[in-house]
Amino acid sequence: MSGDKETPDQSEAVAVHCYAVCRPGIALPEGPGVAGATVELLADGPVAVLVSSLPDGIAPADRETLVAHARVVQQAFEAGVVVPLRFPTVAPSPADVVTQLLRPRRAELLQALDRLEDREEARLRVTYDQDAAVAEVLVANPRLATLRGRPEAALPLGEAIVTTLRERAARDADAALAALRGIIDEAEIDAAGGERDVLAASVLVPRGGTDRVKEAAQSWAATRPAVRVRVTGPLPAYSFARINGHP
Amino acid sequence: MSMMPTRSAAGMLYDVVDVILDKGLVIDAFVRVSLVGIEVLTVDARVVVAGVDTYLHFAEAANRLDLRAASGSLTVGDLVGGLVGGGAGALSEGKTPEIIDGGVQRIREGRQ
Repeated sequence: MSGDKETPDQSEAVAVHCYAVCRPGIALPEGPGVAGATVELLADGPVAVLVSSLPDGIAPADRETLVAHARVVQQAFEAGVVVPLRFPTVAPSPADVVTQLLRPRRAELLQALDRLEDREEARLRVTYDQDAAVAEVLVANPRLATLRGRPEAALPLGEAIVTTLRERAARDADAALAALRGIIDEAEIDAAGGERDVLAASVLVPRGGTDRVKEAAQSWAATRPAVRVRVTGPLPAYSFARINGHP
Repeated sequence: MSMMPTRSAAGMLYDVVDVILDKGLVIDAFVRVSLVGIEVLTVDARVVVAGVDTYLHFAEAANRLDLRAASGSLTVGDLVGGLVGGGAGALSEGKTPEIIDGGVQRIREGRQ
């Protein structure tokens, strides 16, 4: 009743969508965030979080929301170091961001920021061109080639090809990562995919290192006609955002 | 410079949608709202075909291939040389874009 102090919990009790942890000096991303809201910086000492108001506490479940989130994180990453938060992270209020994240986790957040400083993530996808890979399997296994065109042998033939491709993919995945040794700081490997998938992984590299990953991966693949590589980046280090070793 | 981030972020989305959805720091204190529609974006990209259908698919692929280019020289190296040289067009051409765009296409289909 004194009226001396405002109570932030009541005056700002609107939920906020949280994008990424960053340092307070970062340039704010241009353009709207999730649900068209203005992106703001909530700072407490040496750590900050990029947020935008989300009055209902829930965003439309569509592509637009995901793109808006990704765009903000990407732009922030291009302006400085960020620790991306899991999508979607929604805090009950700006005050909660400070009292439940920035303040109690300050040391860990600073550590995470330091670890990702001057780093970027690249996505690496290695796949087989199906026909080229199958042709190589058949040429290398003439006995299998003799099963071609025999309807009763279709299942054993297909199974043998798939088995061979999977064995090959495991070796090629190791070889692809080995080819990047010395270029990457860390790698996070996705779970195994389909028959044509050799490797899907995120790699952590120094800023500007995505180009080196591209070059190294492409020159490795150049000696393997059935192999296709695709490197995407630079990205914010989504896959390496951890505190105390946990995502 | 000012236009690039927006364009690149949107353009990259299809490549990195799994990362954006699956990775990032989890703050226990804050609710992670489950957005039903978002799952549609990714589910098709994660489908792994397995079993009999897969075997038949690869058997069919094997049947369809023209291995004559390799018939006179049964080493992988020779076949490889032919592919690199662009001689075996059926094996080397036209497939790359499909493979590369496959994931993107599935995601696009998934959200329509």
